[in-house]
Amino acid sequence: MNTAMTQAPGSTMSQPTRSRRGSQALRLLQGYAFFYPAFLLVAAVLFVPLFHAIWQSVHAADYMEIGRFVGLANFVNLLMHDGGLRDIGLSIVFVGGSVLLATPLGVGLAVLLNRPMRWRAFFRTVLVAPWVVSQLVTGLLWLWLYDDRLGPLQAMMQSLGIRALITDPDWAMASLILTNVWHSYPLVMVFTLAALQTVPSEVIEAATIDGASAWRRFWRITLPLIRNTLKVAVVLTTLHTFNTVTTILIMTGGGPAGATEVLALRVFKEGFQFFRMEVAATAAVLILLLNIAFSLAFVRVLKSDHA
Amino acid sequence: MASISLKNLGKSFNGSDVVKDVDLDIAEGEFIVLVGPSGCGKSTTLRMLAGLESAGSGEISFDGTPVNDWTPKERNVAMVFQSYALYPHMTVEANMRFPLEQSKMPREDVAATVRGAAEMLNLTQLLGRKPKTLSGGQRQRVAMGRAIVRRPAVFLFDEPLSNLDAALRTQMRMEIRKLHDKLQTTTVYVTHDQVEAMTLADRVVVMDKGRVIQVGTPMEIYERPATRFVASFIGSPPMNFVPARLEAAGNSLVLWLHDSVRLPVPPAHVPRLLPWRNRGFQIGVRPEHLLQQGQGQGVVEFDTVLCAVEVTGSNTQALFAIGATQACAVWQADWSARPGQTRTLAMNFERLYIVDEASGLIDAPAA
Amino acid sequence: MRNTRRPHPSAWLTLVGFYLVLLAAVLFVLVPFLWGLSTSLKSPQEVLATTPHWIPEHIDFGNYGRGLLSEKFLRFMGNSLLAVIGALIVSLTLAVHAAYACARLRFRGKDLLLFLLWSTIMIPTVAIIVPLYLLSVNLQVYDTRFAVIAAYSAMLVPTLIWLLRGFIDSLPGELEESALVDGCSPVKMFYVIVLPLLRPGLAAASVLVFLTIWNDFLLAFSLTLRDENRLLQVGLHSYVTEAGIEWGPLMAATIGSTLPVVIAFAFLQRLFIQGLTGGAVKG
Repeated sequence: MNTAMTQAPGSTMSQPTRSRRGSQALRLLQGYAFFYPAFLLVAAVLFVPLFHAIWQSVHAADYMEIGRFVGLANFVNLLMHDGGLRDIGLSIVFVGGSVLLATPLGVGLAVLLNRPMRWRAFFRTVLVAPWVVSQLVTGLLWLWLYDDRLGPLQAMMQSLGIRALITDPDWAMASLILTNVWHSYPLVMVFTLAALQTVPSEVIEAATIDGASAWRRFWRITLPLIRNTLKVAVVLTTLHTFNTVTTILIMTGGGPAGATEVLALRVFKEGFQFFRMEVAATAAVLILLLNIAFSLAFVRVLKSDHA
Repeated sequence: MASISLKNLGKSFNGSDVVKDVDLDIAEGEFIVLVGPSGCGKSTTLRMLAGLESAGSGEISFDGTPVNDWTPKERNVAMVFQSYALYPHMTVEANMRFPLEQSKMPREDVAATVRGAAEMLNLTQLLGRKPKTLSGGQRQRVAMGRAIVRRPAVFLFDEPLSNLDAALRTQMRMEIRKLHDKLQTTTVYVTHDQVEAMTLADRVVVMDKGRVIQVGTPMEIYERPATRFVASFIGSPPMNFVPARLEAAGNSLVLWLHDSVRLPVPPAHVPRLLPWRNRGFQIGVRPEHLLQQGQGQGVVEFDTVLCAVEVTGSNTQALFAIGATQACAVWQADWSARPGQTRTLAMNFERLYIVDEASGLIDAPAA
Repeated sequence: MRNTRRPHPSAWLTLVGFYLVLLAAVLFVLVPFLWGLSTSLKSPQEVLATTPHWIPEHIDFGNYGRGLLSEKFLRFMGNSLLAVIGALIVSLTLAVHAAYACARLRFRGKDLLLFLLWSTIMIPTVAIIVPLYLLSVNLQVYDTRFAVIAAYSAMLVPTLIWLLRGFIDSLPGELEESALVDGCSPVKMFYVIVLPLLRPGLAAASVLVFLTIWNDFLLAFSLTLRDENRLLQVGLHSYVTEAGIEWGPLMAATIGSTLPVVIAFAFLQRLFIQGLTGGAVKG
């Protein structure tokens, strides 16, 4: 097994052949050996393409090759003349709607699930399930559900005077948002549930004795105590929704008439449908910058709470 | 303040009875202590009083009105938890304000009430601080402050001193009693510490395994415990119990303790012991009543060997042999006492308790 | 007492209200599934019926034969499974070593490298798929299993390191300290002491790897071309774009490929949630 054990009992424990500096060097080597392979893989697959995208975004594209340097012209073009701002605006609508609906839903369900009840395990399992389903499947299931000819909602749609859902420019975004809420509320719910478990039950009992109604208990006592976790969940949901491509791709492809062309989708389409590499790269850099900006803002907000 | 009445109160969890057949009447302004070992049902009873647990069976009444279905808010009770349960994200002042915010009290009155309560509990300096910056004793007082601002009908305390160190506990005990004397609110206090029970209570309720074993003033509980359980639970060090038997000796009786200590029964006490001649019984005697040679009357002396000695400075606690068992005696500080010495102790028959072996009930000496 | 208040039937009412809300939420979750399931069991004519029925008139398993169990689709699922296995081997090996290095070892530039590693979590997948595609073409690994496994592993490694590091940090330090006192070398310590204790962490990590790859569309789409290499979600997608939409077989394929995951989730909930809350950071 280990060298110390094969020595005669009573002898010193340390390995006599290694000097202290030698064993330190071994540990250092071990550190490199353990860490670098992972890091190099990540660098190759994530950093190299990233730099390529950044590089491409400030150059023109010659089909698949990089052309001449153009400075920020691509960005100006995309934002000012090519609908870039509109795409960002649609992203904001999509994210805003999704998060504003998913958060209360997730928190509310978590509060309900936090009490002991019959069939609690069943409810928990079913209510978390949408998170486990792929974006593509989510899109497919809802696309079929929304179908205005053969889907089950057509009766209801007719009575409300809605011609179509996902194919109608007025309703497409709302339909997408609903689908996205379905997919993303479980994240908020799971995080909130975990946070609720950390609230000591005696504190809630004290509030009950103090005469607070259920709503007051939640608003004045529970919510402040889970606020930080809630913030994390909201930020994660926001970023995830902002970067969503697949669901939108399969449900609307950006239509009808560009009503749902969010920025993330734009990146995909420019690269894989229109093959305009410089626009794709520019949009990619844009979305990366927005991700970074938002993450930094979030870190700042989280830190300020711990003052 | 309200008077409280519990009739046949019971509660079971998962099929086992946690509280059973509790009958208790608490007068307005009384300080009642529920005391007993862990799991005896005292906390559950308290929580049922608060409305945090529903009563399984039986009735809870405040001032004669049944309140079984009333929410805690409607019952107008205040509770101090073992862990204090302060709102961690609020300052001391906000903690104490919170109960009043549910009522329609105008803001100035709220502020005044909070200030008054803070003064009463020496919290004025701490009003702006958050609970996690406070010591255990301070948090305790904030919990009490939160309880008194509402001027509730009943105070409920759930082992509030368990988390404090010994010195602080003594101090807080006195503060709680002072507070009660000042506010005169009906108080129900739960603890497993019999010292707290004896020092705080107007009446003590001893509970075991979900049932009420005895209710009485501290003196009654101490002097005339009803069962062996109560006798051994109250009083420290606990009462000694020694198997014994009676032997006829001419016209009188001889009491044998564990077949090794022979005590002739004084004539005045023979009538009391006679009925026990043919019944199984044990003798109960408190360590503090095993007088040293030369003190008291109605005593019978006997010699014994000390097995272990602890001198605390204020008194001496010694284990001595009775046959194969050991018993404990307590007397004044005696620095010369050593294990192995022979001492003469005295059994005071006026402080002798007889425990029926079968039922555990105690025949206490006449007052 | 002061006020005479009536007892509380409203307590019972609130309880019923809770259950109703939960049931409504459950319905919200299940409706898309149920509709898809019902479609998957209908004959082609019934699928096209103008008045939709929730319960099929005749249960027809034909869609499953054509959609889910067709050779093409089985191949898609097989490819995904192979990618999962390959990525599990590569990513777990790399990540668990790196996680140990982060938690217990020192090396030059550790802070900077860790910062870079964590910063990758801010990179949305969509931003790199186009250049990744170009890179794979240039390196002539486009449309190969190797590229797929390498890409997935790289994408998962930062999150896995974060997840596994959390598990390592929660191991009681006394175990390693007593091993050190016993003269155990740091290398041996890792393989003999730490690794065996990481089984729960590796289990949660495996779930994350499986779920990510099984559900992924973007990366697979950018790196594969031919049908024989396509992964599951891309395959599903191709059903839609290639031949108009045959909803029956499509739903069969959809439900059939998702159901096992949902059932596995139902039984392994804790593992899934552990893995997913770790992976939620990437999104």
